Amino acid sequence: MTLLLETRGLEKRYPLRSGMMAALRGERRSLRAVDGINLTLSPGEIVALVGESGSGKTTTGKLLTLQETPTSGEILFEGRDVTTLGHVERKAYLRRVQMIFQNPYEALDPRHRVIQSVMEPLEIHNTGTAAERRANAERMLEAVELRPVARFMDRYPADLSGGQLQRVAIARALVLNPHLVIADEPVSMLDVSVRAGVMNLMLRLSRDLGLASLYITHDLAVARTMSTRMAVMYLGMVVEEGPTEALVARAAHPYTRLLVASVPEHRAGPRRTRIKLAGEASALTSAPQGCRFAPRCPLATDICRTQIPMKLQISADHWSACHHALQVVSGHQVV
Amino acid sequence: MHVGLLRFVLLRLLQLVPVTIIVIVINFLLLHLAPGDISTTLAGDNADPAYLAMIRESYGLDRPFHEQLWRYLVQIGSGDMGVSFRSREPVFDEIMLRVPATLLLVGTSLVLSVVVGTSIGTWIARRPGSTLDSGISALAVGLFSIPVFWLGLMLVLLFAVRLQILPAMGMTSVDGPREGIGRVMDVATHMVLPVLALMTVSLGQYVRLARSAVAEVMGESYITTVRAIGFSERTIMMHYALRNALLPVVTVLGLQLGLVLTGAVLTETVFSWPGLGRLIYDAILARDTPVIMGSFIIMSATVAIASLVTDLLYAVIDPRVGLK
Amino acid sequence: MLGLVRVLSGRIALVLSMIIVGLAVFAAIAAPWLPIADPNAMDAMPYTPPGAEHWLGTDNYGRDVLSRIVWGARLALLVALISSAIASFLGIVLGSISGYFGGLIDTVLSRTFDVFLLIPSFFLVLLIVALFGSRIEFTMVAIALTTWPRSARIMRAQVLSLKSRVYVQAAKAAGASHARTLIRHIIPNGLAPIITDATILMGLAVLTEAGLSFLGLGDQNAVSWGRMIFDGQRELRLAPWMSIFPGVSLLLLVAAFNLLGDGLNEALNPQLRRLTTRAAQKPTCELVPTVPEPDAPILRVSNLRMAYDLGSNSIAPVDGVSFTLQRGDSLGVVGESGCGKSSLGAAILQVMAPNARMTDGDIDLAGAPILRDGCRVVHNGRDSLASLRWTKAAIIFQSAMNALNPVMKVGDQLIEAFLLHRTDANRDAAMQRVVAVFDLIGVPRARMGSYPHELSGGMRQRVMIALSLLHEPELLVADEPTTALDVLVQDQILGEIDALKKQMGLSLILISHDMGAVAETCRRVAVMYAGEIIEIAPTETIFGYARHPYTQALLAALPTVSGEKRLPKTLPGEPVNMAEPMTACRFAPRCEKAADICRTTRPPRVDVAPEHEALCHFAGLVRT
Repeated sequence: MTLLLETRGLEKRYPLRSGMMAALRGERRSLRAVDGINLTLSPGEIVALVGESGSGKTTTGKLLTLQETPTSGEILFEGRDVTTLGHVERKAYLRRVQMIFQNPYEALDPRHRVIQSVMEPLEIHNTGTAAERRANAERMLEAVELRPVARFMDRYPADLSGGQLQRVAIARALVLNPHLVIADEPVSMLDVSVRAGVMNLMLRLSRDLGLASLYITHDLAVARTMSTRMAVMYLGMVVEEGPTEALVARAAHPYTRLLVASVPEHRAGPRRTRIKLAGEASALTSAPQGCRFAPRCPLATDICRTQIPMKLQISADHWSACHHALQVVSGHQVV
Repeated sequence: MHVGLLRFVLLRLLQLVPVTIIVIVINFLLLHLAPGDISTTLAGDNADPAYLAMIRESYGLDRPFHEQLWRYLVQIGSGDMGVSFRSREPVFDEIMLRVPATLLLVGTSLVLSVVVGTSIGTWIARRPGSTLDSGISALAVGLFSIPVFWLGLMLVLLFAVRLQILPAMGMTSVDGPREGIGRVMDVATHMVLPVLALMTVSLGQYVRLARSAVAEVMGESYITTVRAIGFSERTIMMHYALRNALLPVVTVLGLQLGLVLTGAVLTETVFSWPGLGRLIYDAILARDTPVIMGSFIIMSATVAIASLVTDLLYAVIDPRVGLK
Repeated sequence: MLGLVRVLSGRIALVLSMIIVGLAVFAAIAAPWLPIADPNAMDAMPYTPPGAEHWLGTDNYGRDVLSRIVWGARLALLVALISSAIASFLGIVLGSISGYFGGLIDTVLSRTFDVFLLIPSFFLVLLIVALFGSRIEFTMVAIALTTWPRSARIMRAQVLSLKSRVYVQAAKAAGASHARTLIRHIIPNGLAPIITDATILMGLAVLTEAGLSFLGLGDQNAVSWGRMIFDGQRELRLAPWMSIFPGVSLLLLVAAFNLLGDGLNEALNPQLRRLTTRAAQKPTCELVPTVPEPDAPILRVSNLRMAYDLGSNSIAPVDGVSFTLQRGDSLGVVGESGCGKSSLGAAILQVMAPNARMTDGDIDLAGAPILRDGCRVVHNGRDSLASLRWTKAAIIFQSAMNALNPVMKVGDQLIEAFLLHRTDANRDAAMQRVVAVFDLIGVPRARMGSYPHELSGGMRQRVMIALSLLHEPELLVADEPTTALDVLVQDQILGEIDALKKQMGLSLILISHDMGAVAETCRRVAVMYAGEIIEIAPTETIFGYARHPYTQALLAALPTVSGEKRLPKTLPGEPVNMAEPMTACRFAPRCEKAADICRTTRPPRVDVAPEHEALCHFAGLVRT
């Protein structure tokens, strides 16, 4: 099966102001938001991209939807590199790859009615007649369960709740029938009782439309629910990748383990041990010496601080970039 | 943090240079775009040919454009703003002679309007939305809608013409004391009306600014924290809110200087106050272009410097500056 | 009645200003056809004071003042409209380009704006008019050229902020061109402050033109109010009406423009309304203090009700809440947005927003009455809460970024907080205490000299915690203490709070939307919905044997990492909108077990088990 999406060595650096002396010496400091990642996605697959703030997951989403241009690396969509596309081809690409954003309250233009917002992508790409576009948009509103459609169509965003807004945003993203949807924390700003509805909707639509999805989130429980495969990012790099259930049950990287362990349990019973982690992640500005996670990792040893860990294959589709991956996956205490 | 602050200060200082240059260039361009012969504009309609020739020479009016511009820049940069063709004195000297009087007027009214305005604004901010608040806010708007020259005239009408208790013109009485306390009092009585006029018009600005700044600050989360800790409303207002509310006031102060100077020109005209404003007015009437242009440059430079000072003041008050 | 007057009095200014502008427009348009004299005709008797024949008198040339006022309105409006229109247009275009494209274009353009803003505009206009002549067209263009940077600056700021709005990014991600994005999405949404500023520009233009005319630089042939004052200046003694009336007209028109701008600003800018809502009245009641019983609960809340005034509406975020907290115990309060949990937290220590007020209920803190029937308890003028708050009980707010004073070093903030309640201590003692608390929490001592913005999110929150523990309180109310932090840091901080609780024997109320976080730290959990506690029980019971359908639905809707993978269960609808009328049981519209009785009769508070209550008709019958 051919891959739908593949990134090779994808990098994004933001230049930082360096001090005068450093600038004179010719040193340039830059923020390495995304520091060389290789992701793959097959048609119809849902992959979760997991990380905390500063991990580079949101930037990755922006790179994939061409909102940012990579500093280096390739993005191959259906085999073609999309980073070097001309204007027309770029637009054609964006038809196939759409994005759902985190903030539902800002997702729609406050001056446009719901139906107008959903029709807009169709207008931008000039598909069909006005009547056809409208019919398409109405169908989409039906699909995202905003019923009766006639009641929601002419409303303004200010009259809608968070969950309803996000559904409209989903309708807008899917109205062009994209092959791939990048969802950047689509439920994190919604109430808990509303999240389940939106998550279930996305799963159903993905199944019905054969949609592939990259689901970006910091919430491991949500990632687990939504995806079959998971990639964990830390400070710009993927540190572990594999089947979601495997990572959740038996991760092979200390960071992943900690992320899983930090999810509070929703049942009574013996309390789990709390995380004891030093410091907070600070963005990378220069090439790391050794493992990026070493400064905070409870298992860090000398080799971790001096040598960059290679990818260790745990099983056919599961790897981890950790010197002690095998120890971790076999249950060595991390927390 | 300190590096950021230093960088900020340096950047702002450097900004003064392009501003001044641009102002001078604007002057130059306007001069050249205006109708009429430039040398006549600079020398006056009734200048004798020798003087005209001298003007031609010193401004290089027969030279190519860019050379003229360069000459002009250098000239102004070295402080030579030409000569007033009415008085035959250097423009720069004429201006500097008048500055103290204007400074007295502008300085006094600025200080008064800031202090009084901020106090009133802070006071009504204690109860935002109350009738007192709405009333005073509306009144403040009325105040800064008043044409300052008309207010001056009305004050003269009331106090000098009808009531005859205050002088209508000038900075000193013709036959008044030359020095000592007597002179100070003389100047002071002459100052009352013009300062009142100038002050009233800018008062409104500060009332509204202080009011909205304080009201906004009082709604911030850290005020809730401080209230929870137990500080009295009074302490909160004076100690915490006021300091944070000062920030926008300081910013506006710098920007407002231009408006205040405008008011000063108009006020000095009404009261025949011997300051820069009066000089400009007389120059306009006589079409004494070098003086008008020189004043324009000086005014712009003053505003630029004032804006720099207020930015620096802001940086001192707000430790977050220098981060961006 | 008073309310109506207040609403109108707020609007009176707006109404008046619209009337004045309307009058001026009418006068300007209808001038040629109105039954007034020719403004330039000098056939009347000069120096006539206002009277029957000439309502506003005549000037020194025998011209009718009223007629000149009416014609002057024409000029004033023309100048106002044209110069502000040109300035706004230039400002919108250049400001948008500068803000949208950024980079070099922005640097060059915004520097230009800044420079122009520094040049005093009146003088530039003066210079232009002095050099080019005083035709009215030059004046208008000159004014526009000196004021457009204001609009540009505003537009640029708007564009910069709108660029990052999701719907703009979404349009670009869908393939929208720059032009489309700018014209359809950014500019229409950014126009509000430009419109407001345009009215101010109009006022400025009128004043500038008047000032120019007053100096004699105005158009000699046009009838201008400024020029009338110029003429009237010399005749102040003989004919003061020549100067009075044009000045009054100027004042009224400019004030009208400015007030119009104000009104527009408030109408278009909803945040401003927050600043103008009236503070609520806070009634007090007198009560003689009694000696508190030794084993009184640390907190007793009974039938607490709060109202929140929003303009003409009011909602009740806390609507009949009762619970008791024993010393050393911990209670978690969970719920979704709008359930009232944060309002409850604020109400406990009476730190509500200015437009919130208690309408009913009792609060007893460490056995001392704080609130009775919604009134604050005072004795001999002293508020009984004042001596307890921060010393006996303290609160941690969410988003410590804004909860700390941004212009003060954190060490100083804590020192001041310490000294406020310990008048016997000096600064050194305060410093020692602060250092001790910092050590306890895990904040490095060096941080005392830092400003809040220099600290990381987790560190700021720790400082907030330190602040609350300064006086060793017995009760700590923590309102979403970790919401804005990264997951790992969240867990860490909650662990630290847990440890502190054990170490200091603190009673804890933890408010959160995260049920799991609350479960791990608190012995009991209260679930809130629409201002009420709909279920309260020990933690194990909530998770194993919840009785209220909402609690059950909430638990079923949560995704898990452990155990078998299952799909979260959808709960239809959205959290209730407190501003709209509600059914008897507020959860009924979303409840799959709802029956008719739920919609018509208020559910009873059912004692399911010791320490377990649920607010539901079917609490005793529902199977989990």
